[in-house]
Amino acid sequence: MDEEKETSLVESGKNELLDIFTKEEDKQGTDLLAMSDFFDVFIGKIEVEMGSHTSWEIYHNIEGFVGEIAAAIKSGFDISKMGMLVADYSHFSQDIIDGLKEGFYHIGQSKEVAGNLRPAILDDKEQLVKFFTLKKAINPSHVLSDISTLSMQASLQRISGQIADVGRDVRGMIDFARREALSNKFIYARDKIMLASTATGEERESFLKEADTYLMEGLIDLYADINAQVKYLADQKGPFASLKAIDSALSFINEDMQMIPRYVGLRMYLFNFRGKVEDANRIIGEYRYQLQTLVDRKIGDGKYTALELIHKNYPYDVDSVDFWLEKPKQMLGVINSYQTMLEQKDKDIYYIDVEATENEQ
Amino acid sequence: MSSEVAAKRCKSCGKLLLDEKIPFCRRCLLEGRNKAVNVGEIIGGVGLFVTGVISTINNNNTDSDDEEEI
Repeated sequence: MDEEKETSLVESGKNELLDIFTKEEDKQGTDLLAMSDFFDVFIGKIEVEMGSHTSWEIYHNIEGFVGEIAAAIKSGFDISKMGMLVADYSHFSQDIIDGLKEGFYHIGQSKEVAGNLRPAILDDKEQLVKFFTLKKAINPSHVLSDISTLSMQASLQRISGQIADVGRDVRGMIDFARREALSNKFIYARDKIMLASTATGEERESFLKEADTYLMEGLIDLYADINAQVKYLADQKGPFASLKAIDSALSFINEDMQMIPRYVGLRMYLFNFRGKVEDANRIIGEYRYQLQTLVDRKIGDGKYTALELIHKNYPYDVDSVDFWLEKPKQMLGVINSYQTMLEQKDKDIYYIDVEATENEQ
Repeated sequence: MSSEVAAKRCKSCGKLLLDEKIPFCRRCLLEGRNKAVNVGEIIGGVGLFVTGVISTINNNNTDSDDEEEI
C-alpha cells in the first residue's frame, strides 16, 4: 500500500513536468512564433527536477571563486580546476553579461536588507546590480544531465531571442499560411504531449514517442525549407535582382531559424524527461550539423556559403552588423561546450542560481 | 581601427565586405539602385506633368485664337 502511494506520487510529479502549455495561445493557437517562450517553462521545470535529484551546499563566502564565477556568467558555463560552473543564464540579462565582459561590472558581495553579505554582481561604484547564489551539488552525477540540459535550454532561448531581434531589420512580408504550415508538426506534437500529461505508463510513453515523431518531421521540414530559401537567395544574382524577393527569402530564413530552436528545445526536453540523455545529445548533434553546414558548405556557383550569402544581402541595423557571420559560429561554440559538459562526469558541479525578478516573469 | 580593416567595410552600412571590389555592399548597391529608380520615376513623372500642362495651355490658347478669328 505504501509502495503504491509512493509510486503514485512520483507519477504525479512526472505528469506535472509535461504541463508545458500554460497559456491559451499555447493550448489552442496554430502559430508557433506567437506562442509563449517555452524555454522559460522548460527551464523552470528542469530547475524543479534538479532540486529533487540532489542536495546543494550553498557558499556564502565566494572569495577565491570570483574569476571562475565571472567566466561562467559571461559564457554560460566554465570548466576549471575547481570543477564545472554553470550559470543560470536565463536570468542574467545581456546588459549584465556585456558589463562583465567590458569590465563595468564585477563579482563581489553586497549587504542584503537583513544585513548579511551575499554574493552579487556590482558596478564600478560598488552598487548592487544583481544578487546570486553559488551552490555546489552534493551528488554531481545525479544532476549532470539535468544541469547540462538546463544550460543548453538557456542557450537555445538566447539564440532564438537574438534571431528574433535581428529579424526585425527585414521588411519581408509575413506569410501566415506558410508559418502555420511549418508550425503544424509542433501543434500535432503538442496534442500528443497534452494527452501524455494525463496518461500513465506505456500509454504515456506511446504518446510521447508519437510527439517526438511529429517534432522530428517538423525539424526535417524546417531544415529543408532553409536550404530551399538559401538556394532561392543564391539565384537572386546581378544588378537587376529584386529586393522584394531577397527580403522575402531572408524573412523566411529568419522565421525558420527562430522555429528550429523551439523544436530542438522541446525534443531535448522530452528526451530528458524520458531519461534518454543519449537521444537528447543526438538531437543537439543534428542541430549542430545543420548549423555547421550553413557555415561551411558553398552553394549556388560555389563561391559563397549560405551564411555569407545571407550576410551579403541582409539589411543590418547599427546594433546587428555582421550578425549572420559571427553569431552562428558562437552558437556552434555553445553547442560544442554542451557536449564538453556531458563528458565532465567526475568533476564537482557548481550552479550560479538567480531568482527571476518580477519584470522577467 | 586600421585603414586596412576600415577599407573592408561597407561605407554606407558598415557591414564587413567579403570580396566586393567597390567599398559598398551588395545590399546598399541594390537599395541605392531602387532609390535612383524611384527618384528617376518622380523626376520623369513631374516632367511629364509639366509637359502636359504646357501643351494643354498651348492648346487652349490655340482654341481661343481660332474662336476670335471666327
